[in-house]
Amino acid sequence: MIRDILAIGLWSVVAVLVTYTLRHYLFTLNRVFGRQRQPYVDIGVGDWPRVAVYVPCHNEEKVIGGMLDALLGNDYPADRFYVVPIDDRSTDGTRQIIEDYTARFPGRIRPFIRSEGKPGKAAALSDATREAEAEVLMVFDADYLPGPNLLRQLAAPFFDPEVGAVMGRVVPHNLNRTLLTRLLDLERSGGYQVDQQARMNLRLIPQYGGTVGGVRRSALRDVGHWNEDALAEDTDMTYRLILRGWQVVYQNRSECYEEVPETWPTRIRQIQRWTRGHNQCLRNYAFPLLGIPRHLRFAQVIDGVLLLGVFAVAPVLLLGWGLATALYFMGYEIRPGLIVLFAVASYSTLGNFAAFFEVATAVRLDGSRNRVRLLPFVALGFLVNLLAVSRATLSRRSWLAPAAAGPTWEKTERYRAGNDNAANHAAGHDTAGGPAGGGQPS
Amino acid sequence: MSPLLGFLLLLLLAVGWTTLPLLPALRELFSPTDVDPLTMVGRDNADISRFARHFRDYVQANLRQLPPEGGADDSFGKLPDGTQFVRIAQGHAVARAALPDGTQDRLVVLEHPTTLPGGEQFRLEVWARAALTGGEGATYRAVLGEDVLRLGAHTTVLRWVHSRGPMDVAAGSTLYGRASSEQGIRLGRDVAFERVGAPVITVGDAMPSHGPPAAGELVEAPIPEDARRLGDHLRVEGDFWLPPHSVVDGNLVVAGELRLGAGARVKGSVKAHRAIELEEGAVVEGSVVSERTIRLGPSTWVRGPVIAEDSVTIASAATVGARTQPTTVSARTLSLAQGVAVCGHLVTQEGGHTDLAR
Repeated sequence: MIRDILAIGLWSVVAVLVTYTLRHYLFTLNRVFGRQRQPYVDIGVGDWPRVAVYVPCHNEEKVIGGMLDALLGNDYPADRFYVVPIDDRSTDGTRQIIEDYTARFPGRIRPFIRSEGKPGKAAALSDATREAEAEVLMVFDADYLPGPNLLRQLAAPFFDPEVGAVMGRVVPHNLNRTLLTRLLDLERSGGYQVDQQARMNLRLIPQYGGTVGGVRRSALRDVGHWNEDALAEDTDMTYRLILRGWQVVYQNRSECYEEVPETWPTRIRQIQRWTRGHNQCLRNYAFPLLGIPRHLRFAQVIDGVLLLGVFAVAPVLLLGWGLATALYFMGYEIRPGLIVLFAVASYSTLGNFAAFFEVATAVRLDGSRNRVRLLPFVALGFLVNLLAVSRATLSRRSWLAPAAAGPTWEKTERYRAGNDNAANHAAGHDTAGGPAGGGQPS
Repeated sequence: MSPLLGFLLLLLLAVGWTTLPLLPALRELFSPTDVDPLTMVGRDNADISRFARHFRDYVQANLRQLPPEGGADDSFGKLPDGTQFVRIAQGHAVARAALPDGTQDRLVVLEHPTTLPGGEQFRLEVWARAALTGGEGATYRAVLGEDVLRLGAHTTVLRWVHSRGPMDVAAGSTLYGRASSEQGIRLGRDVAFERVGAPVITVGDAMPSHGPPAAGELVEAPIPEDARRLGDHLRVEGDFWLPPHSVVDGNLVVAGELRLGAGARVKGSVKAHRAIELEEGAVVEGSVVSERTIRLGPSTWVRGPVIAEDSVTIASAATVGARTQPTTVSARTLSLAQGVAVCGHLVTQEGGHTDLAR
């Protein structure tokens, strides 16, 4: 009896892993052979919408100057955009730097200073954007470095009245620092170049990642503003928009440099934070999505659920290991037909081998030459992700009511030496939800 | 062979086989060869005259490094980077500078107004510093005109063409790559193109209308009962047809097909998951976006942009954009009838063409 229950459990684990394996292959093959959708990339002239760029900050003195310089150097019509640095209780020199810029660029820099209310990015954005004048509200993290054309590229999809949010591509800049940064570079390629673009091609659910992108003001108001209790305000926003009937768009050519973690402890904290935020969304939106709203296609619902569950796969995989071991010692006989399924499952033992195929394809699409040679080491990254994500998933905070857990400012360590713009080539950040195409442990 | 030796050999083989894929990985890790951040690729996508500007900068900078010209005659030379060029003072001398088979393998600088007889093949760029009138059947790699530029019938441009003055492209021509003018472009019959940009692009002798045609008497369009308001747009599931001379105030998103009857008007943008058709005289005061095809009927007016994932067809006397507000028409394929006027950019992924027969 117990053995049968364990066997059913193992079968279920295999089914989950096979599903994610097929998903990876579908995305990768679509990216290689499918028709690529980039419908807004060619919009070069138009009556550009008014844009407000929000930059949430909490102790960002090392990077905020570089970010503001990059934004002010953008080629978006100067009378059509302004920048809102949001200082939320910084205790370093962030506020002074923002005040300096405000004095130098009156009207173009409009700071929003917070000294009370809930801490955290979602709450800061919620307060700052509530009275926004602009039609499009873009959000960047303080340590990103947007290129000169980025605002125009990200604004273009908003000519489509159905588009509620747009996400650009995050590109690591500091990949030459450690093995970890190089592995994260490969993961990011897979996540954006293949995963996100394939979702766009297949009209599924590209994810708004909250770090290089924007939201339409009327859509934001329509879904009730940012969820201040969300640990991953970006993923939360993605699902509320989709469930309501808005579209989320990914722009593969709207790239922005970021700075990825250079040490394993930082990376582990980062991915655990993403896990908690993502699992909170899984709890909040899986059932509404499975209700199959009339405006969504079945494929979108399936993709949406799989995306929500992506951080839950790691403990499922660990469970599979445990079940397989237990059944082996209990004398469970594998029938020949099962061998194929177990072969696929073992294929997914460290991460998912289809994910390796995805990463290799992405690197190839990016035109990179030799970095794909590091692919075997990606297994190391997946192993760390597996344990870190499993631990975060099984933690109380992952499933507690947000009011009890409470969002806070959780920041990834910055590596830039100072506020020297020439040296500010790195960029990076993450939100609680993480880059939309960031490393997925499945 | 002893069992122990066999085991050790097997073990060695297994370890070697396992570590094989790690060898290139270890090599790349300890002796990195590919650690630069990815170059951002999207910078020039929508900048149609970019190549022309870069060429002008390049050729001016290189010519500046040469000794000053002694006389007003034609001169042959070599730019500092080794590119051979010819400066032609008299238009008829172009033929003299050509190879025996009639092709030009030098960069050609035309110093004065020039009219070419036709049939030339320019393997490198042509820089016309004054008005240029091309002959029939010429093939250019690229042309930069600093004044009026007229391309003769059945001309082929392989990479780009740009003019500071008005550009006229005669019938049967093919413009690969980018074509742009700082004043305006007139396209003749059966002209094929990929990317075109100018303050005004006309097919034949069209003139862009300054604004939407007078509305006349409009009635409020009947809205389906199951339509939902989402933020600033109205969402309709299924197909939707706006009756002639009806109006919708605001943005409209349709999950099926959308048809605007003759003279109908939308005071906002429209989007449809399937085809969009604007019948004669219909007006959209914002953008028109379709996940499939768009057909703009005769005398329609769209402020723009017009974006279709498949094809866009624009019928005679239709206008997209305005001189004061240029916009973009983007589609996989694009078909323009006589009398069409577009202010801004025409961008296609698989090519567009004009057709006076429609």
